[in-house]
Amino acid sequence: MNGLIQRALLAICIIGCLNVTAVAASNQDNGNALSGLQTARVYFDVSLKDDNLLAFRMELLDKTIKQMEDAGLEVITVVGFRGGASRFITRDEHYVLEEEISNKKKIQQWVKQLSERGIVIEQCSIAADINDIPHEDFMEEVTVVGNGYISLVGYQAQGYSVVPMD
Amino acid sequence: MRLSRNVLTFVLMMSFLLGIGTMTLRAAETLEEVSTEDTLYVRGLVSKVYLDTMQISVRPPKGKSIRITIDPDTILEGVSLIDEFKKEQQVKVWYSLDENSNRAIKIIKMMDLGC
Repeated sequence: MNGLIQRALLAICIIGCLNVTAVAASNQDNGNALSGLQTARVYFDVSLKDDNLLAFRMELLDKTIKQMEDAGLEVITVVGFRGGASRFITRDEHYVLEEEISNKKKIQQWVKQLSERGIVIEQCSIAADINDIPHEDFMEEVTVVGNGYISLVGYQAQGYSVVPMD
Repeated sequence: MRLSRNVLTFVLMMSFLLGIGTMTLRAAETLEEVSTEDTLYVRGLVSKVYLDTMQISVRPPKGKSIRITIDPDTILEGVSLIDEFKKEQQVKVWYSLDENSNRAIKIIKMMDLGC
């Protein structure tokens, strides 16, 4: 009899803990940070040259935008590529090593998806020239701009928050 | 008299050899970034380094990797030894076809500017 009571108490404790965890999880929002905001302008500054990290960060970038949208914000986003990240948003399987091709495909897929949702994808032309990438070799979703640093300055002046991905 | 003639011959030969060496160096220094009849040019990423055979593989932007042999005459810029080459580094390579191998004339390791 005692054993039965003990088991029942244990079950109640576990259910209680699960409820507390669920409530805590639902409270894990950014209420303070987003308080009073209706619109968020974000510039993701992407310069990662590691294919694994870049593929992961693209997923994180998408998640960040979706979470802000879920919080009721209108999110206006620009994703700026420069540095070593540039070669991953070129067409086909070019400009990468054989072992980087699978991650490049994932990154290209993210670029397509983001572009379809109206997100602007920019590429610094200075980085393109340094890496010897002709502008026509970039994916059609990509807009090549004169200087990525000027984009950074300009978008910040327009009220965009810069999120570095380096 | 005979000794001085020998000395003169030696000096002339040395000057000739030095001249050829300098000309070769000059030619290697002024290589243009295009392939010619004698010299092939490729710019790409280092895909593998073979220390045992003194070779590196370079993958051009739109093509398969090319294996290139480095010898003591190869001019290296940006690195001083083959083991300083690393995967994913950008390089410019001028090479010639020697029998069955690609012999590097000059390799420049590009700086990673990060911008």
